[in-house]
Amino acid sequence: MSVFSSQIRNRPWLWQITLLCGIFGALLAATLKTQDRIRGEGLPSMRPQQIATEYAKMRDTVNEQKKKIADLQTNLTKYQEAAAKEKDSAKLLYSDLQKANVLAGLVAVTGPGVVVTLRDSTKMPAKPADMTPEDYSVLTQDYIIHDRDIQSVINELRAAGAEAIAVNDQRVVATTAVRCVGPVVQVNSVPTNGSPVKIKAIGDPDALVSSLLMPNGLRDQYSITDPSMFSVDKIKSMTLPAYAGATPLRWAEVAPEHEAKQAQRQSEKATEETVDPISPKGRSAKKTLAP
Amino acid sequence: MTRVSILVPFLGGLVGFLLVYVSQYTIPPYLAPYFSLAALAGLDSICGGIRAGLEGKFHDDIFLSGFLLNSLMAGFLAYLGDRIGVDLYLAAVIVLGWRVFTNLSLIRRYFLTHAQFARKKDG
Repeated sequence: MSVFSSQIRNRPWLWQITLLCGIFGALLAATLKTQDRIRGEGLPSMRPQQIATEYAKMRDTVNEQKKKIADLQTNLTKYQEAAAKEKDSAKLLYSDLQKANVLAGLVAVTGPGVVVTLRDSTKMPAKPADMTPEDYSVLTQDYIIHDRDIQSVINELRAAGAEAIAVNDQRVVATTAVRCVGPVVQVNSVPTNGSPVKIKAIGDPDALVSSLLMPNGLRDQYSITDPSMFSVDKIKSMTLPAYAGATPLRWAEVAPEHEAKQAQRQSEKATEETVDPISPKGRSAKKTLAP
Repeated sequence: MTRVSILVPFLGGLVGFLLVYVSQYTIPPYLAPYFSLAALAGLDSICGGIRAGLEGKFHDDIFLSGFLLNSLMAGFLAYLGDRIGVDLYLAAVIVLGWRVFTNLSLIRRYFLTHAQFARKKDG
């Protein structure tokens, strides 16, 4: 040790280098940890400023396109109305078109119904100090509203005869997807509130409410964690907005008549085979289906 | 003997590294690029200091002020670059990286010369 310290005494600058090395080591550790965290969270290594510019640019484009779609749709309605005024046959076609549009969610509709409100629980358990963030997110999973919660509500409402549904004022149509993207819920690819989520449905209010509140139904799933996560209200009259997105179909086309008939026959056959699980015929059919 | 004493700074670096690495502390992500630059400036000062010490030209005031000013200026340049849309960040990285390599080669040369000298004396 004496040899050691004498070496240092001969070289006093080594002390200062050592001190600086300590600071350098601390800096290095801090940056290393931060970079690890950035990578772990899947944040792009791009600088925030660059991302912000990209984001602003994309947002402007989206807004422009949205305006264009709205303009085109108003124009289309005008043309259809003008055509309907001219001829009786056109009038008939127009009323058919209106019906199809209502079903497809392309026009705003008014009627009685319910509003289901889903919200993240406020009774989330606190994080124990010795728990990893991964384990904690598993623990709190049931206290947060996810896309599957919204989807099961939509499914239940439709089963109970809902005629039009909107999630966070985004109309649910045939091509609608509901999914969680970080803290927001994307409906029709439009980011909306993650909590509370408001699901409005037009239909018979009593039927809709009882379908949601039945024993062992959707509401009861929240009774263990936090009943306040799920609430439903009847509404006398409300208006759901029209689907505002574009409606291009690139893959699906109207089937020729003979193919349509064949598909119809197939669907009838499938119903026949599975409709009665008690009859011996149905049971054998089920057995062959089982993996 | 030189080999033993040169280990002391490494030990210091290790202590600093472990102290922060074990702690819960992390930098906010938007400051991360500036801190990386400050770490690079620190490495540059250390290499410069070792070289000056080996050459017998070490001045503590130059050393410490160099470290502080370099890391601050590197961070400020990067910030300015972000503000005016020019990657001044790269300028700091290139200059500091270049100096680190130059100093490292000089330190290596010093040790090699000494080893040669010692071998001649032995033989």
